[in-house]
Amino acid sequence: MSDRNPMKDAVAIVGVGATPYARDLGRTPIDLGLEAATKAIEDAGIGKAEIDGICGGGWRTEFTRDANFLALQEGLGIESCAWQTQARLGSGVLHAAHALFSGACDVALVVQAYQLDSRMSQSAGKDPYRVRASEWGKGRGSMGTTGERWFHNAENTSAWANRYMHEYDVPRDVFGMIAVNNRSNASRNDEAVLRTPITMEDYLTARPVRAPLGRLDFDFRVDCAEAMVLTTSAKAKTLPSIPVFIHAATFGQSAHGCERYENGRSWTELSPWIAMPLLWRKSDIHVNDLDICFPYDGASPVAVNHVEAAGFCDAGGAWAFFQEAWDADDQRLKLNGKTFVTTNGGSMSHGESGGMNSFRESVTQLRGKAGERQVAHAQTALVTMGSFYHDTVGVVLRSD
Amino acid sequence: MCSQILISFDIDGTLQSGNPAGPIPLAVVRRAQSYGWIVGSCSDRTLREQRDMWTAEEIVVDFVCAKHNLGELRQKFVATSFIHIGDTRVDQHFAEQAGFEYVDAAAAVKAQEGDAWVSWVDTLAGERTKMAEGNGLCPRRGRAGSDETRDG
Repeated sequence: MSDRNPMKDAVAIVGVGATPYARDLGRTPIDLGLEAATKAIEDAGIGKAEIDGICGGGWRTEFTRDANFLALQEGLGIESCAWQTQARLGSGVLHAAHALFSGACDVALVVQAYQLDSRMSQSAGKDPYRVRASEWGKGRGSMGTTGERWFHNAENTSAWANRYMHEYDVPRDVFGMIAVNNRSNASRNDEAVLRTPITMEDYLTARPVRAPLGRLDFDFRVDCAEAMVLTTSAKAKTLPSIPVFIHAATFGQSAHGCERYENGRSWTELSPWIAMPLLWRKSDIHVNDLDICFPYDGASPVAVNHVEAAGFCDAGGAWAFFQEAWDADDQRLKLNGKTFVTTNGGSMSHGESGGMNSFRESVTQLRGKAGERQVAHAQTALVTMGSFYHDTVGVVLRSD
Repeated sequence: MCSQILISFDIDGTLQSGNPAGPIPLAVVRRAQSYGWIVGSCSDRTLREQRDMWTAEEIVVDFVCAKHNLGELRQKFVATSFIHIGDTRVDQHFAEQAGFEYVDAAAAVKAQEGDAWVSWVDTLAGERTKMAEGNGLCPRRGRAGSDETRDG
């Protein structure tokens, strides 16, 4: 695999925007996506006509639940584009960076919109739009209604959690430290959907979902959208907004793309263990240099896996490492005594946006604009994204 | 009144104070309390979050508990009827597992109009009183084993 990184610091995030996060906003994904996109464009300080590349969210161009690139371009009134794609989770950021670096486009807009599926809540189930969209998706290459059968259902994550606890002889509390940390951070974030601090006892006594994991081990589904504007670093320096540079970035994919527990050989052969070592080979900034870190927290064991794959500690070492890193007064992790983790509350407490909120929070922190939760002098960030199995990315961001 | 009803409310998607807001106004909770029923919440929210919600609404409840621990209420309280009102199959599952009657908020609200939820409480009170009288059950309200209920 390539250790080259000619893209180093050559692409920057120059605009971020988002909708409110809530359990039921009563709006369509494209409506949400357009609001986030408009805010990101305003934040970048550019005209929308300058956007010539769009990455939408979702699985299919025509899948009506998603803010896809066609609908975004039309909705924003952008006359022409030279690059377009769809992406899941935060992988769109990396796709856009590659497109910008290759010359496929000069200014890229990345949008992800999320909406509770019609079977995820009663209120969502009363929305005829969502019901029709879910029905339409069935049998058309999408996963149909995610509430009915989402391939991220808890069984495989829970199976990995069990195996991890068994093989490394650690208690479930290691996952709980991610949950408590994220909620403590969310309590500092006005945008977060879940802001009431939780204790380890709350975590351990929460409703079981699939043993050993419970309700506080998983991301919290909401209606929301996130958007980012990226451009070349050269152009970024001409814009009024504060750029945040993509220092190094990579995908990482193991041979086991299916969400099946039995497909995985070991904890250390899952996709993060492909991405993270490769990332460090491309980067001049390393794990001990980080001010903030966002291990993807679609589920707490995934976050633990990303932390270990990133090299903060050895495989199976997170329990001991987290105990040393735990600030009892703050109820937060400070890895190596200095690296703050998921300062916005993440998918588990801020709300689930496929990890896009981690990018926005990183940009906000590296711009020094995070207000009450600002990490002093934050200049470097690691964002990891993706599950054990797919769309796994690692991105190192830095300020100027 | 001889009957004693314990009524547990799910919060999110059930009560109007939930997130998302549900169909049941807090007037129903207050009405149930006016009958002297044992009233509280069983939700997926943490106990602290549940307490905070009730405090914000200035309602003093008899219990808060995790939804999957609904059954513990049967050990803690003496009542002739145990009812859980919720909005999901998860609510129904844990209610049935704990031997509670399950009332689906969404379905029930369809049968009610306007303030009829409040009269639903009245109707329920009348029905259960008759039932209790028929069964010869007249326990007093309170915590099991407490001074209030020891001789009940």
